[in-house]
Amino acid sequence: MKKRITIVEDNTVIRETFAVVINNTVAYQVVAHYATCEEALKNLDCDSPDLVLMDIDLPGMNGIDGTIQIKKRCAECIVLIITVLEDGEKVFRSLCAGAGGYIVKNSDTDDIVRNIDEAFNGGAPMSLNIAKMVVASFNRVQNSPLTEREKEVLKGIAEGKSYSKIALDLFISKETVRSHIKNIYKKLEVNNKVAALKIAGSNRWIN
Amino acid sequence: MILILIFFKTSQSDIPSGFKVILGDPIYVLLINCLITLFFGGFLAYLQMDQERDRLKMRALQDRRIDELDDAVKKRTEELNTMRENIATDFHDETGNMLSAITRQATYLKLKIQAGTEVHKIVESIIFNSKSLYSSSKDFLWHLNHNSDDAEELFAYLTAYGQFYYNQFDIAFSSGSQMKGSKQLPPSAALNLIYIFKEAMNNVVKHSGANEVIFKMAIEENKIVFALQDDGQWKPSDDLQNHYGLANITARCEKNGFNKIIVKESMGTRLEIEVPLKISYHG
Repeated sequence: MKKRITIVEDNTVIRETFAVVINNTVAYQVVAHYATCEEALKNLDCDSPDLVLMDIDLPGMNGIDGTIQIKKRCAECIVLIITVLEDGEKVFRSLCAGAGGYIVKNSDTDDIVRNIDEAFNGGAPMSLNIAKMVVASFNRVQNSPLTEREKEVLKGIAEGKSYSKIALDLFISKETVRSHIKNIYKKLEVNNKVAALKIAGSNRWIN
Repeated sequence: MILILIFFKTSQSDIPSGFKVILGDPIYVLLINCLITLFFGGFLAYLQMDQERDRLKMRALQDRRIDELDDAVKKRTEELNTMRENIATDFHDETGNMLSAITRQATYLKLKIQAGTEVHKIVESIIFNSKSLYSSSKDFLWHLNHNSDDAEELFAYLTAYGQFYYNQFDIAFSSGSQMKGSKQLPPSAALNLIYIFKEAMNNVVKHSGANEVIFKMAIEENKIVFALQDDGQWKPSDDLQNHYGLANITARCEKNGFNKIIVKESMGTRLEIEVPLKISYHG
């Protein structure tokens, strides 16, 4: 059975052509595409997507808040950000909000499908600048939730090493590197929720 | 004191009576002397005060002018920064999306056209050009929006590119810098170095068959050396010059005063670009 995908992107051309690329694959089908988060959220239950491709700058609710809402209602659903620039602050904030990775809008057809495959199989891409922001985010908390191996993988990415080089240095496979990255993303989301709660608690916003 | 001394000496001295008639009594002389001294003293003090007042006025004027210029420079810098940020945002919102839309539409068209036909090739060319424009716009924007003359920043940018690029292949990529502290590159060097090393990184994938690539930066006397080392076996019959796309690289080096060295080793090849820290430009 094909995996169900929805697209949230306000640029009609990009939205529709992304849908064509995905519908041309054997494994995936686009069940719906929307110009706004509000529409996507309204139809979330009936669409019941396995993966949502989400733009960040949208009219009305932005993609970061949209990601939070989707993850809240459907924790198993993977959100992949579609972006022009892959290493911006907004992409990082989307990852903290629960997105499982990102796809550059200008990617090759093969890259788009490969990124979706990777998101399902574990291990979305992570760039050097995003890795640096992730490191900084985990440094904020006293007890890092990352395992030693995950720290080594993250350090390798932040130093500019390719996945193959990290795999070579740590005597592991490229697939294992990717699965570590997936876990780092998951912990980043949890970590940021914890950090947000701690900040809120220290400011007596919650009891 | 001096006046009292003059008075005392005058009264004690044996001045001829003719002079006494002309000069009058010593007390009178003393008084006249005092008056003249007071007059000139006062006049000089007044002049000095006047000059001091003018000097202070001038200093205040200068300070005000400097403050005005400072404010103007600060305002202009802020305007330029805002303009740069706007260009980056515009690129993200408008140009980047537009170029992505062109790529996506052309990709859609490619799916609809039979491979091998003339139209298919044209569509492929549109995709290639759109992606090239997207990539060079990103480089240009980075150059505009960052402290791109800082060698460390440039090294980090090229490392990030190398990481992203080689992640698409099974090639182990890493980088290393032996430089401590920031070094200022000559203006426009950064953008040219980006184009040079992007071309070199691309050619390593195309022609060297390398498993591992290392990008390095080091400082030597008055020059910074950027090097791309691979462990590939470049085909001996092939011209290494063509492999590295050296026509473009050589032209860029000559135009910017860089020195290009290619070192062939038993275990691969190294392309070194030396950037003098003081450069004279040609063309």
